[in-house]
Amino acid sequence: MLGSISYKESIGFPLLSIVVFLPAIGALFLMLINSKRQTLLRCAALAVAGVDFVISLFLLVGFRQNTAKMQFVEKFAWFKAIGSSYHLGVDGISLFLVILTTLMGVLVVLACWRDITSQVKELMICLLLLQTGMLGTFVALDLLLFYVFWEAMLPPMYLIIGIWGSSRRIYSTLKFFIFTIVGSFPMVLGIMAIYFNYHNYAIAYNIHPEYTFDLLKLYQVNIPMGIQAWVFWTLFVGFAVKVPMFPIHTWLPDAHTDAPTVGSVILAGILLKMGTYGFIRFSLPLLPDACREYGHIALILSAIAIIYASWVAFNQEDMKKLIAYSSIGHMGYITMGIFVLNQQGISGGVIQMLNHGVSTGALFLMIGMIYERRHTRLITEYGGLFKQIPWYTTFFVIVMLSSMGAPGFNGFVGELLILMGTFKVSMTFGIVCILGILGCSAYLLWLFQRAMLGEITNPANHKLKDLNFREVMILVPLVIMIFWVGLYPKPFLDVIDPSVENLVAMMRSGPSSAK
Amino acid sequence: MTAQQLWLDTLYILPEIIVTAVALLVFTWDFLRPKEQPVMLAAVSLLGLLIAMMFTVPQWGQEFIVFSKSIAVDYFSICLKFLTLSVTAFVIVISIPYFKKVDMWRGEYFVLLLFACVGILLVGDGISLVTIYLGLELLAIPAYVLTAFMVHDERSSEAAMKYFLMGSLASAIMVYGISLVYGITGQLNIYAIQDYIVKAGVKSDPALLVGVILLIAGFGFKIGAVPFHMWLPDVYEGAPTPITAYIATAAKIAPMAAVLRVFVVAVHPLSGHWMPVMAILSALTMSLGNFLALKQENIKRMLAYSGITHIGYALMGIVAAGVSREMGVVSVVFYFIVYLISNVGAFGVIIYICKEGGRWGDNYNDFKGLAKVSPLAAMVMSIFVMSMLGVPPTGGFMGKIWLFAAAIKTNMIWLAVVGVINAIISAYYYLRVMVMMYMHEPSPELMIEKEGAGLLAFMLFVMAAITVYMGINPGVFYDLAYKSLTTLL
Repeated sequence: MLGSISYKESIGFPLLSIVVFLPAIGALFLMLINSKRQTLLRCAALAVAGVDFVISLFLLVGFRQNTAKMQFVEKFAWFKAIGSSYHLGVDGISLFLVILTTLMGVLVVLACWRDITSQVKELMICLLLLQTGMLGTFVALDLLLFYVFWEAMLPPMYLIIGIWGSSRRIYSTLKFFIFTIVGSFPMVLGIMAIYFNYHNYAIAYNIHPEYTFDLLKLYQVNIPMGIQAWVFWTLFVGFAVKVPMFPIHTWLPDAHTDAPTVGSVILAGILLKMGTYGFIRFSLPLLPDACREYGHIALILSAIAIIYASWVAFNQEDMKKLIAYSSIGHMGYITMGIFVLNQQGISGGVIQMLNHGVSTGALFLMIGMIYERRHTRLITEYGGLFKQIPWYTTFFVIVMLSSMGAPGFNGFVGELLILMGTFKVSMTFGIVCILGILGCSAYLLWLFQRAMLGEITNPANHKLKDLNFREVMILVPLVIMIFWVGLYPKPFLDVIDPSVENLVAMMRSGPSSAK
Repeated sequence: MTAQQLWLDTLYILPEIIVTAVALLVFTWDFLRPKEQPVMLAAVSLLGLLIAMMFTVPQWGQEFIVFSKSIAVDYFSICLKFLTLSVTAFVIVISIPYFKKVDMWRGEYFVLLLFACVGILLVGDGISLVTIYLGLELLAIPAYVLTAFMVHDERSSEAAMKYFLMGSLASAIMVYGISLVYGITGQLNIYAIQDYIVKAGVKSDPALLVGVILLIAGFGFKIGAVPFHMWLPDVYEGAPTPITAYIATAAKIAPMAAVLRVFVVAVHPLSGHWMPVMAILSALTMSLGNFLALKQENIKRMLAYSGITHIGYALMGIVAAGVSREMGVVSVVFYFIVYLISNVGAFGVIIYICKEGGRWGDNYNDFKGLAKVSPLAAMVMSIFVMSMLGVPPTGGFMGKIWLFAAAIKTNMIWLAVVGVINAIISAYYYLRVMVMMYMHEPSPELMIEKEGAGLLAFMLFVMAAITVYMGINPGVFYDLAYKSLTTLL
């Protein structure tokens, strides 16, 4: 059984609630500010996000390593009548995702400082509400609460793409919303089946018969394979749409192309992780038999995604679309790592979630920066940028190498672990992964070569200005993360490993015997 | 029954009596001083509703069965009373700016509205088939007149005609059903009917089953379930907007309460027979309403069709009640509260932005750019729309999830799947409202006349707050629904 450490033992005050709801409360205050005072609005949003980030760092301070227990746990009665409680907690799997979310929260406010000048108030409110939704999703330990957070961030994201996006924004944002709910509404059925199963199980085995959405309690009971089989698919589709896995990925390139930079960064940096997080937190431990039974389908879909995304990325003219496809490929590694169902694979998946958030987020930020200057994202419009804007190019190289998974950069650590996990299970899938990595390096290098190297061919590029202080400040924390994980991943893995070990044990030997 | 007993019993229906008295007062006043400012009449009506509500409060927590077992005062009926009185009050509030804009004032308006309200209250109270029928008719007749209230508008008259013809037919069918049930069981009280069916073993009596089928058809007309829904969109479009709001919400409380009383109590022993029929009705209602809503350009029509869909969801709960009365009823009552609030609120927003002539705001295009002209109105409308779609943290989500849960619990998984598919489809037309409000530039004609709409704006804000509160802390409303269930059975 998975124990938990209450927030009282961990740090003494309800830290997680503060981290989760501070942005939402900030958003309420922002509503009171006059919408014409844009700078004030930006500063206020930045302050809220900044404070939230700083407070979230206390999680790192108070976090105990070497245990798989849930920490900073807060549990209060919420919807008592149906057995749902307000139940939050983090473990090694979600800790870094929370920090990444609060960090990105600060960076996106900075990133749209000059970029967006219309309806700033609404944008800031949307960003802050979205942050509460995302944080809540990562820390909720109650199925109903999780679902509430999961869905609650749809409307803000929908508005961000739809209001501040480019030409085909309405089409893209509708596509995003509808794809997502096609996945997530059926999840309700799966969640309810798990919920009722607990009650039946409790009656059959003389446990106190109650209805509960409490994840830690639900972990303890077996679900009959007959139910697992269909519940697995309801959850799988819901999470897979978010990841997005082949063949339900088609909303992503559209959403990215038409989203404003902030939208893309949040989408790539955080939102996509929620799908893979959902697999790890819910599908694997709750439905282990179904995962073993149908895991190979997930592996095949991941393999297709890796190869297909690289192939399509090669043919993109639009830089943002190229990165969007590369993102699909990278998420393919993560799902591959998760569904090989062993320690290395899942650990790699977890750390790669962090890495992908940092490096793809950074890539979208950098594309946003150049788009702000030239208002085009076509690769052919550029060329020889290194001569004109060397700092930009330098940062780009670092981020690109991290995305490719070059040794010494963060991507390498995650990809190596995933490869180890995959080769343990199957030679074929391992080879697919390696081919994918090669493909990814190829199209990124080719992009780099066409856009940054050589002579400046387009006269418009002669006037480009290099990064300013604000932009450097946005990129520096991400670059620090890239090298930290890349050169000294031990602190990260120390946090992640116990939780993953416990997860694997829980899957292998049934729920009751895991520690 | 002695005369003294009759007087005592009267005390228990004081809210109904007060509303009737106020209706008569307003009527007389309007008759004696026809030039009186209608705002005064509205104020008197509102005051009357408030007093009625105050007299409902002490009844809370008690259970009485009066008037020879034909009227019950219990949690269920009190819950419905509060809902009915507050929705009626809200409709009166939204009527004031509306009729100012269309420049058409008549005192009878409030009289009719109050009488309809008494009808709904009676259905909520009624535990005898006759009381239920009387209440439904008392609601229907003012509703026909109110629909035709815009005398210069052909659509209004046409809608009223359609409503009247269809409604009368439905009533006839219902009475026939009631008479068959009465003929077999010899009882009018719903609990007595239930007992009789169990004890006398008439579970497969063909005449009784025909009676039940006729009841389904009759109530189906009144709640607008497919295939008895034809009157609904025309009535919604033609009627003056506040009346549309009334027909879409308050006027649905009555038949829904009747369905709960009759199917969950009276003929519940026959659930094996009516469940499949109801399930098919529910699936059809959800799906057809949805598909027709997709193509609408007129928001009132869209709300009409989507209202049909919501009735379909609620019927899902009734189906579940055939097996598990607890889950079924609780989910229906909870969902219905949410549905009422979000729907009446959405109509309120339509009135808030409507202009002279009263037809502005009916179409999607009229909502273009609302977020830039009035961010709060757009936000409130988004909350209502998201609630109807079932996105947390709104009450609509909590209502829907519990309906699906009820369906799964009673092994009607196919019905839950149909429900989920429909919820997904409905996203398209609900999101379109948001697209119009947020993602387009405002048209130059879009002007909000704030004058005289302060109370309306405040009420809308309160409604939106309640909608969100129901999503964040649903326990309160759930307990309410649960309590009303305990006395219903």
